[in-house]
Amino acid sequence: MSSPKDLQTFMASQGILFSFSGELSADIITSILHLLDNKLKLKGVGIRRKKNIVNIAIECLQNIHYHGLGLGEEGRRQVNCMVTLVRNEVGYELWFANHIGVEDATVLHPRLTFLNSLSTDQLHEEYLTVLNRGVLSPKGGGGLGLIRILREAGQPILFEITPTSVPEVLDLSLKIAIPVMSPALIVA
Amino acid sequence: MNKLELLPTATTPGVTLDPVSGQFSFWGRSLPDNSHEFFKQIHDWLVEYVSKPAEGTELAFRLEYFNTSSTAHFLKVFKKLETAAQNGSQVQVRWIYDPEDEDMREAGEDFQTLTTIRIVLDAEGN
Repeated sequence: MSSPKDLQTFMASQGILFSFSGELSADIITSILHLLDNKLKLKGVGIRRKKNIVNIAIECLQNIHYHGLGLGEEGRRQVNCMVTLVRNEVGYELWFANHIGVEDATVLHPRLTFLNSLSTDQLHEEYLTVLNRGVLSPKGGGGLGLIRILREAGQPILFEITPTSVPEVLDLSLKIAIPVMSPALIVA
Repeated sequence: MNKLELLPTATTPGVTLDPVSGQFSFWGRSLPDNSHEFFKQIHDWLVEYVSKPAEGTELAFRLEYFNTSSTAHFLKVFKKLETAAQNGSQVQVRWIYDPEDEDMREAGEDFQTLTTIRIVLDAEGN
């Protein structure tokens, strides 16, 4: 790949509609959400699907911003992340990648595994239970974000936690499919 | 007690809380970076209001996007309005949504199951 045109051609061939990689801040999250919303609007994506995608992006990006491992120099918390929106034959996929600490990974892995195992109705029940509990974390959500992501996608979250060259730093990657058709129709 | 008015931003909703008319509204986007900080002023205002509420209290919600931490704060707002109802105010929430936006309708239905106040689901102000 030797030119911007090559990159553009490659991204189009992979169905990449949007991609960002870099440091996250509240302002950058706002900008990403604005760009995603506009991009989907211009593509003529219906309100429901557009909001599914943007709502997932909201929860993932804010989660990464709050809980991602900051690796800045001189004590500055710098959280980096990659987010990509892909269009494929069955719908859309949102990909996220960031660093997390070992402690967060030991909480996140079983929680995601548990939530992935729930049916639509069970997820709804879990959502109402957590919301009604009324216990908010200092950063706000109290664990509702992951449930919402799963409810918006209607699919399990594919996730991978892998080691890096630094023992206490892990790579987290999420792949969230948002089918345009219902899963039953896709299988048929 | 003074009226509370907050202009909408890219991440926080517009808010009007009028203690005399009992007309309240939230609109726009609710994605605050620090939801506790943003909603504290609203919760504090409501604590005073619900002790001596207007005869009628109507809260109109018309939101495009909100994050889950805002959801938890909205529920806290509704729980406070239950106290206004106990103190004699006729309380109603109008949850206004785009007819194509099923998620937003479902969010309104969720609140209906979690609060005792009347929440009317209103497909685009109809």
